[in-house]
Amino acid sequence: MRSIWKGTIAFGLVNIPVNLHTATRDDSVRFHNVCPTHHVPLQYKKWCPEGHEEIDYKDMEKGYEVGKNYVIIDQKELDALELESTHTIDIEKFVDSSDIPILAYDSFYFLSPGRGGEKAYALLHEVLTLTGRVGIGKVVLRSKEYLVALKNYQKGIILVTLRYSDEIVNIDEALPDNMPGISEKELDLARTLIEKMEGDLNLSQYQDRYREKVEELVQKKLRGEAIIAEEVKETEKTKDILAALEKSIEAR
Amino acid sequence: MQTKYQPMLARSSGPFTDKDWIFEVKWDGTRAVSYINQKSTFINRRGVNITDRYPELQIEENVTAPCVLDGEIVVLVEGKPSFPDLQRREHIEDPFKIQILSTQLPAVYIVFDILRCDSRDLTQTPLLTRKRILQQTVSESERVLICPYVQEKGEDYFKAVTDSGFEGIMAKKKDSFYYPGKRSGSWLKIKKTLTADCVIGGFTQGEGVREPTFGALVLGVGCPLELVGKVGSGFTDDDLIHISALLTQIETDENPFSTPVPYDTIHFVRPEYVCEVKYQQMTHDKKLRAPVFLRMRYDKTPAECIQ
Repeated sequence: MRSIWKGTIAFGLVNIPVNLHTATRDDSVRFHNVCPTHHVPLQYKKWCPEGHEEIDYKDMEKGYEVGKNYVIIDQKELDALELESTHTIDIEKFVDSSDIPILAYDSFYFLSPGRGGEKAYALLHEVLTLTGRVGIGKVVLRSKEYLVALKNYQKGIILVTLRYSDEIVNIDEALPDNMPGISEKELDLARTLIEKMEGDLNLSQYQDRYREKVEELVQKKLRGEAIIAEEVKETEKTKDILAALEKSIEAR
Repeated sequence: MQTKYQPMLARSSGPFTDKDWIFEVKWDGTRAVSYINQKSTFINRRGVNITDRYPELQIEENVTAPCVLDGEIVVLVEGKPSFPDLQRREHIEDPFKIQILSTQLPAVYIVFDILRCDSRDLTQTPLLTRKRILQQTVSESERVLICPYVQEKGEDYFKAVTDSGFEGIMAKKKDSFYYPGKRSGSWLKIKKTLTADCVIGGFTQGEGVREPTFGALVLGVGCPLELVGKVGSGFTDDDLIHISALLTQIETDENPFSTPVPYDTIHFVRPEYVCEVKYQQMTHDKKLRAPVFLRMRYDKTPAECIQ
């Protein structure tokens, strides 16, 4: 599996070379906006609604919006703010996995051992599994610093980027100020109901039904074309060409 | 099947005529060693299992015994391999789209060698004997083609083959063994245009319409990486966008080349990607003369790029 980043996990005096890989993918249905005549994806032009003209790439500037006003910032000034990647995942501490609120989990990546790091990787995996602890640290990816968690996952270790606390909304904002009280009886009843509905989660039982419907539709539309493509006997053509080539040199 | 085989590699050569050699068409596709048993498994030269990309290549019916084959996966258009069409098959992971493309652009496995048959290792068996066992073990179909070969007349065959639009021929020594993973002198590739696989070690800043992407790719070969020049032409718009997206992810401050690089506005990248360029000749100071970008070679590793 191709890695998207290479670096080292560093804690105490230990360094473990690792590779980073994507761990999830988005399979949701996606459509493109295409030209009705040529059936090619449309390009977007940068249009100034004020000057009624197209703006060239190299003339565009970066603006930071403050109440519909834009503070213009030079690309060079932004570049200067970028963090230099040290290619190190610096572990600061190990915490209990229940300490990490579920809403903090952002993106998931697999870590695989880099060359020479297999033993240390296996050891870290084992100790994370046995202790249920999660390594918390920082890493610079694509010029941005991320807070990350290293966690055991099946046979390997995953890296999860964590959201900063100000990115997590307080649930109180969604709930009524006063929650009604619950009686013992009501609680028992609800508990019985839940126990009756208990089951095991098997994710593969669930499919994206919209996606399935779209795929069916695409398949139907393609059916005509696909058959034509299959009927062309390309391999026969190739064999004829090869036989003719062979013959042509025998004649010489 | 437990034993894994690395594909045997070839050196470059010009056309020649010799009765100790056979010659076959060089196929422009993805090299893959296949393990055919109850089912067929395809492993590319990077060691990646690519079976799921080609569901139409379940070819157990085509063999009379469990075997390990060496060949090239191609997409044929007008009877010739089309690399652009094959590339459309290479980078799709969505099983539904793979299924559709497997009927629209079905792949063909061109088999040219057999490395194991009925649990008997054949790598220490001479080439022509392997070819005979291959004929006896594998049958052709719309999905499988056994690569034919001619004896002795390499120059004539090279001319005929390249005139009809193939990229070149392979020369193989009749009595040679199969050396897994080795670049041996008993297999030679003879190509019409001079091409080289180079490691991308950086890119230069683009100007004008190329400003958002890059100007040229800075190329090297060997280990330590030796600078062989830069290539700034031959890119489609898609290439520019796609490659620059790949490279910006692996930018580094570290010069991957063994010598300082004399270009302005260079951005170094970690030497991970390989591209193929064509060129007129190698200058005496070992630089590519007039290189033109041909394509990315995701199937090749930087270690394979040698002079």
